[in-house]
Amino acid sequence: MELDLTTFLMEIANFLILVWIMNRLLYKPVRTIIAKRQTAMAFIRSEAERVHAEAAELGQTYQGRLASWDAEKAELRRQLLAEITDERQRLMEGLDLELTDMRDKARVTEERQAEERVRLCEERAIAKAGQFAARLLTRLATPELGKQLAEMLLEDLTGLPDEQRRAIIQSLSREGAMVRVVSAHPLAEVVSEEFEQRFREIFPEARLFSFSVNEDLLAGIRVNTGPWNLSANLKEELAFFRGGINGE
Amino acid sequence: MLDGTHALFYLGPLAVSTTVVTTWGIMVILILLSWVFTCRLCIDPGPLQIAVEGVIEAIQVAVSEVLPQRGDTVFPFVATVWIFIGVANLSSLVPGIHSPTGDISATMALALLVFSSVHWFGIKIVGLRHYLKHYISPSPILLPFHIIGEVTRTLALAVRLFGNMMSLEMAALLVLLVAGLFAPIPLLMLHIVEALVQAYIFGMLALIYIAGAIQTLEARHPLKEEES
Repeated sequence: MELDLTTFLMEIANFLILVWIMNRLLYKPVRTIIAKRQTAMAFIRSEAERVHAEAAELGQTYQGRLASWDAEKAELRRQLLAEITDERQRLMEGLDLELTDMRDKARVTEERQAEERVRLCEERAIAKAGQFAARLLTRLATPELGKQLAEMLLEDLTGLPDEQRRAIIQSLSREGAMVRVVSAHPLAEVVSEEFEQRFREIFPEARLFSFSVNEDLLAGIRVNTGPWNLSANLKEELAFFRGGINGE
Repeated sequence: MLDGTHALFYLGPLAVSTTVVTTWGIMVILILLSWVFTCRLCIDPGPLQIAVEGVIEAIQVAVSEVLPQRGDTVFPFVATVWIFIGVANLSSLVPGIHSPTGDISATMALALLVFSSVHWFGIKIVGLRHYLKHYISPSPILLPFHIIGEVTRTLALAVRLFGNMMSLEMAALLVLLVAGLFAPIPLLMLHIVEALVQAYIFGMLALIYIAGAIQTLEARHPLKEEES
């Protein structure tokens, strides 16, 4: 172990030379290439970050557009639902009106049918009543009933209004005016004379009488003088009865 | 054989020792390898370039961690210390080659360079007046202690490396003499580890001394470069 000054100085010189050469030959080139690579990597990283930022921005824009589309779609759907609701309400109101009209028509038709049925029933009832009365009165149609009907006719003639009375008198006053008496049963001569007498008491202008028989009258008589027909028989009374029921 | 101080030849009055010749050989090898490596540098590196860049990058990271602001200034010196001492320590694995770091003259030279670099970077950063002033701060009484501290740590730096490498070579020689061929491989492995550890210790201490001086001065005084 000995410190050699020459070696010491030459080692110092050698090391300083080595530092200088290594710095120029190794460190600087390697650090330069590393710096270039880092610069390139930084550029690539910045490019990647820029692309990433652009992608993020595009993504955000796309998200915003999607949100806008969703909002527009929701608005259109809301409008469509509102239109459907309005249309449905309008159609329902139309259906309600149509249904009301149909109900009214059905009600009117039903009322008419009911009235028609009532009317038919009434007609049938009247027909039945007429048949029943005709059958009943046919069995009761006797000469005595005819006599009573003649009496009833004379009583009715007595109570005629003056205007009709004058018209009958005027008809009887014509020359050749004949009083035609039609009865359902042959009248006895006494009865005929009594009828003539009593008729002249009411209408003194009556001069000529003729008597005939018509069994269709069932019972009672019909007096025809000029345009006047004075009836008191079952046939015409029944017809009057049926007409009275029918409102005729 | 263990003594590299004897002169191999003379350059005029200068006696060129084995240590110097070995150093020249190491320098040539390092320069040639650097030239070969840097001839084919490209952005897309191959395996060899990746390895070289890895070594340089590792040294730069270590320097930057200790000196974040002055790393680029100190990096060439510290990197060369690490690489040179590492290769010099490993050179003794070659039969017949004497490691330059096993010579106290070489280690003293390296320690003196570290000592000088501390003052060089200190004066460069804060100026001569402020730099000398820190020896008498906070009190002039501390001046002798500062000087003793500077000398002893430099001496320790040199002797530590010299002692470890010389003892490692001597121990290896003794083991080889005693155990013959039974222990060379473990011994070589120990030699490699010890060589790299000593290089790392020397370089890291140099970096810490420089960084300590720079950061202490930067904390006490405004930077000379900033003033200018």
